[in-house]
Amino acid sequence: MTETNRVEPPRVQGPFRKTLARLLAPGTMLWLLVPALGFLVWLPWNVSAYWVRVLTSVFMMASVAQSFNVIMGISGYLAFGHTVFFGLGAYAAGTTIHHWDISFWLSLIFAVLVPSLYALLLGYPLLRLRSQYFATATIALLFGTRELVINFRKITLGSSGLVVPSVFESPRAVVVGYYFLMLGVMIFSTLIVWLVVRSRFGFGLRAIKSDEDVAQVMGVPTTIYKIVAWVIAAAMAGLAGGLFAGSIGYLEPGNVFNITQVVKAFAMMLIGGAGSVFGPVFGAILLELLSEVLWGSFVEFHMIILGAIIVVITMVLPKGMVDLFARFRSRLTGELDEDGGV
Amino acid sequence: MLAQSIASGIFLGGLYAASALGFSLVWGVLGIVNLAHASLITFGAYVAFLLSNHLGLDPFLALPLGMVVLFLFGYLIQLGILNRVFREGLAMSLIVTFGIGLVVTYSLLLIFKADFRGVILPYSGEGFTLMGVIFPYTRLAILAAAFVLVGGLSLFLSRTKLGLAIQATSLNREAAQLVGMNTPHIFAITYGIGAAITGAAGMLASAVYSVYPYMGDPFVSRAFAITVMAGMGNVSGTLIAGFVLGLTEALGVLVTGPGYQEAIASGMVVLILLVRPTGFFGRQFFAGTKGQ
Repeated sequence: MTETNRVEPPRVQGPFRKTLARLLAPGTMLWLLVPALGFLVWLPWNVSAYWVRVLTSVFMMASVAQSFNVIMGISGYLAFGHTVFFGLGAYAAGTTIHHWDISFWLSLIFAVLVPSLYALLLGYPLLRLRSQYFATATIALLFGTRELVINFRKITLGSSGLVVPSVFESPRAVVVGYYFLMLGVMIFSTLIVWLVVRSRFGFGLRAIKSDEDVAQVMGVPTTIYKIVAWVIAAAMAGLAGGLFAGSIGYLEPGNVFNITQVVKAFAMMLIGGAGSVFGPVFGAILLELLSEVLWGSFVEFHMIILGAIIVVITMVLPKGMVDLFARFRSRLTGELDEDGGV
Repeated sequence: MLAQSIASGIFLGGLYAASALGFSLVWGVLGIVNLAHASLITFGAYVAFLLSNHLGLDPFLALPLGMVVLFLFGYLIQLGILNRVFREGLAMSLIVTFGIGLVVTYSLLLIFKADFRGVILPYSGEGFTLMGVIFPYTRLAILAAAFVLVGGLSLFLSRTKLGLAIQATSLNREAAQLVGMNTPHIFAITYGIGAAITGAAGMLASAVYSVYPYMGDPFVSRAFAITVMAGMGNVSGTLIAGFVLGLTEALGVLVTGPGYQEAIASGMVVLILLVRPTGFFGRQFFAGTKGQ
């Protein structure tokens, strides 16, 4: 790959293109995070509660998409029922608050622990499966767990639903409070992905994605790496689920063990760029805002349009926005990035 | 009580087998895990509802008509959309088929609203009793139709030129193309047949269940269970696996009480995948299980 690139003459011509190429370099682009974060902190005091809620759900979906990114984007394991951990996290928080009367903050620990343990227990047997067999097993896991949650009425109150009291007092504080909590979770999740991608562990996972047998021969402890990645991803989804339980105030099995959420988060990851650090966040912003606008304008058939949009975007952008951006930049500079992403 | 449970397990198994047949064919031949499956079942059920309510056609007699409608629909979906993406891997096909499912389901919701509707048959509720076991006519007819569908597909795949072409493409796409087969057309026909059979299962289901936009959803976990049990694309295995699942559910209810059917089906999927990923009937029926 590098051989062919070296033959091509550098295409940077003129001061404008040179400056543009320099501005679009990954190191420079990272500085954009500072004003972006400042903007997100400024925002909730200057827009209506409706938009604050919309952004809260954008952050939540971005966190879920990042958790998908760890197991699917980076490791290449198609955990298509991954939202089972989101639901478990939500129910772990909800049921501990309901039965033990503990504080919301304490319940978040359970929201992380319960899904992680579930993933740890199931990881060893399930992660031996590959590609479609693994995907199928996780989908079955989602269906089966949902029905168990519906049936364990003594703990979960079944399909009649579970009320989760809010930690914040005034309605305004509820909206803004969960906004910042979700924002924090999104940043935290992105940080985890960043750490994973840069680490030796992350290189191992990417080796597993490109060829597991070769990775194993080269000395990557594939079984342990896969299980750890799956547990990290489960913990991330669980944390987002726990916060969701608090922010929504009412849990229902069909709502949190929802395959539509899987497809949405999955599409976000794919649209943004699977395996990249910031891609899933961009994907979440794009798709969630889009679906919210659609919901506002076409209440009756927004799901039809959403379905169509998911189909069209994944067909047009199979490699994601981050890849598109990287290609645009390499067109300017005439060279390819090391790993093709931000 | 036990005999009745066994009988109802067999009746259920026939319907499950019919509903999983198309799913299995599409998965085995095209490598597409078709998440639009539920919406195709619902689509078929609404076709049966329209035909019986407006034209007074019996759903069992209207099966061929409904299958033609669903075949055309499936053919166009594969030709227009899925042919472009399904070779890019499992992830793409999962997402795109789910998107198609959303469009179909919510279009049906928009047209028919969320009301529960029923197909009323003059003989529904009637049946005969043999040794204390009730045999309802509708259930018997569904069982018979399931046998016809399985037998028909099996004969079609093994005896007709087109069926052999489908099998050949599933074994080796490049080679099939090299010997002059129009593979996009064959893919489209395969998906069309899958949709037709799935729609037929929906029409059968409309005779015993109420028709509403989400009625196909419970069939998805069963289709997964049966397909995994039988091996993707194994036609006759699908029938046996259907009976196994139907009996397990019907007898499982005696043990666990109602409400655990889907958990039973899902537990079976996970167990079978762990113990025997190629299904109970030995080798992979088609080589088409390439995954990514």
